[in-house]
Amino acid sequence: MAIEGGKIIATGETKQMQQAYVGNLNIDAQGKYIYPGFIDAHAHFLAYGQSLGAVDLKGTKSWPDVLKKLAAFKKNKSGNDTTWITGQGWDQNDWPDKRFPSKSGLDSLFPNNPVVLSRIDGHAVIANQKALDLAGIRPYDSIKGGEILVQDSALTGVLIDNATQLVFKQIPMPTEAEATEALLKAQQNCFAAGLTSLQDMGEDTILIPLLDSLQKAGSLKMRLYVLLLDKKANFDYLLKKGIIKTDYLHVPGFKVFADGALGSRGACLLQPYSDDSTSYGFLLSSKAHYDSVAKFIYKHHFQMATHAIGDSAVRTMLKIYAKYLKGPNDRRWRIEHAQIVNPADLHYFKDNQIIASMQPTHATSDMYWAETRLGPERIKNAYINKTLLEQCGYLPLGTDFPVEDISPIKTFYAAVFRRDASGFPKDGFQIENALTRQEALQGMTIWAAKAAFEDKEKGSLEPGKFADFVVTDKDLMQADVEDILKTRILMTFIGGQKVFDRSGRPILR
Amino acid sequence: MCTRRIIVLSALCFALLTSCHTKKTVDLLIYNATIYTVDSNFLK
Ligand SMILES: [Zn+2]
Repeated sequence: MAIEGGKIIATGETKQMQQAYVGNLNIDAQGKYIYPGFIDAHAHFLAYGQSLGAVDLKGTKSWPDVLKKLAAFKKNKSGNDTTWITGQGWDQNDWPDKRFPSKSGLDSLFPNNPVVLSRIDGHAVIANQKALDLAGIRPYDSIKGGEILVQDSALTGVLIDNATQLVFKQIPMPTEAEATEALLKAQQNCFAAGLTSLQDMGEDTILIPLLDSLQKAGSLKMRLYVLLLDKKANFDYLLKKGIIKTDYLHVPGFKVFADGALGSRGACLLQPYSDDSTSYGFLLSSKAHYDSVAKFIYKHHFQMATHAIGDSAVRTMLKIYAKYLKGPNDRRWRIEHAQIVNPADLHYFKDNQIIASMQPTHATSDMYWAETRLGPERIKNAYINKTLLEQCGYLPLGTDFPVEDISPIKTFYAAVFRRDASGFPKDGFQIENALTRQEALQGMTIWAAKAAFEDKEKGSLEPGKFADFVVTDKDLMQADVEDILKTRILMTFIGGQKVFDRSGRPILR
Repeated sequence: MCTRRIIVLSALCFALLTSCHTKKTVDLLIYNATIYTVDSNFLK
C-alpha cells in the first residue's frame, strides 16, 4: 500500500508495489494483517475520558463491594476535600441481591463530599444525601421521563433517566484543561485499540470549538463525527453554523433520546416488563416533542439519530421517522441500539432506509438478565443484528463506550460468535442473529462510515481515501474462534501517520 | 441488498529480480502484508 499526503494512492501485490513505488518511509509488515482503521459507530468520547478519572465500579460483586472500593478511594483524598466524587460501572443485575441499592452506606462514608455513581448503562445513578441536597431533591418529588426512588418515605438515592440530570447539573463543568486531559487520555486508549474514527453520540456545542482547536493544533488526531444533544441551544448553533466538516471533525446533526435502558427498566415497552407487571418503562419526552424535532431536522437537512431501546420507543420513533422520510431517501436517519424491535415494525427500516446502529457487546453483556426483563418470547425480538442487517442492507457497529469496553476486537467477537469475553456461551447467545466475519468487519469500517456520510473518504483502503489503517498479529477473517480475543493491535495509522505502535520493537514476537 | 465482498490482497514476498523502473517516491510504503481493503468496487 502506497501513501502520499495522508491518503492512499495505490494498493496491490508487494512485488508490483515495490516496482512502482519507493517510500520516504518503508515498513515491512512482516506478513501481518492490515484493515481499514476501526470506526466505533456509537461512543461517548468525553464521558469515556472522564470515566478514566472516576472510580471504576465495573465488575463489582455486590453493593458492599462498591462501598469497599469507595473506602479505598477515600484514603487517597485529603480530609478537608469536599469535591464531587464520581464513579461508574455498577450493575445490580450482576449481584446476588438484584434490587437497586440504597444510599445509607454512602452517607456514612461521605458525609461531606457529594457522590454520584452511575450504573453501567448510564441511565441510573445512586447519589448520596449531600448530592441530593445540592440538587434539591426531596422524597416524592417527581420528574417527567425519570424516577426518584423512595422506600419507607425516604430517598434511596437511586435516580433514573431524566432524574439523573438533576444531580449531574450540579457537578461543575470540567475546565478546558480537564476536558483536554480527558480527551487525550481517551484518544490514546482508542489508538491502542485500533480505533481511528469515533461517532460521538451526543455532546453539547460547548465542546465543538475545543475539539476543533485541539485537532488543528495536532494534539487530537482522532477523527470525530459528533451529534449534538437535543437542546435548543444546540439546534440554534448548528442552524447558524451549518453542518461542520473538516478532515477531522464532522457535525451533521442531532442525537435524541427516546427512552432509557433495559437494565434500569427505563426502556419503553409495548407490554409490561416480565419481572414487573406494573411497569412499561417510559418515553423521556412527549411524542409531540420528538415529532417537532424530526420536523426541524428534516427541514434543515440535518441527520437524526435516536436512542431507542424498548419496542415501544422503537415503534414511536420509526413512525415519526417514516412520517417525514416517506419512503426511499438518503437522509441516513438512525435508530441507536434498536434493542427490541417488534416484528411488525421491521419493515419501517427497509421502507424508509432507516439505519439500525448496533452494539454487539450489549447482547453479550445483557444476555445474563435480559430474558428476566422480557420473557422467553420477547427476548427473541431483542439484539437481532442479522435480522436488522437484512432490513437495512448495512449495519454500523459500535460499543457505546464507556458502557462497554472500547475494543473493536470484542465487538467483532461478540458480533460473529455471540459470546462474551469469558467465552460464554459456547454455542452463542441467540446465534441465529450472528453476523459473518465479513459483515462484522464491514460494520466496524465501511458501514460505520456510510452511516455517517463518510464512506467517500474512509472505511475502506482505496486510492483517494484517508490512509487510516491498523496492523494486527492475527487474521480476523481466518483465525480460530479461540484466538480472536488474543488479537493484538500492532500499529495504528491515521492519515498515514503512526499514532500507535505496540512496542516500539520489531513487530514480530 | 447488494452483497459486498472483501477483497483480500495477498501480498506475498518473492525474491525480486526486476529491472530498473522509474519509481514514484511516496511518503510511506507498507508492504508484505495481507490487506483487507473492505472495498466494494471490486465486486462480482
Ligand atoms: Zn450511548
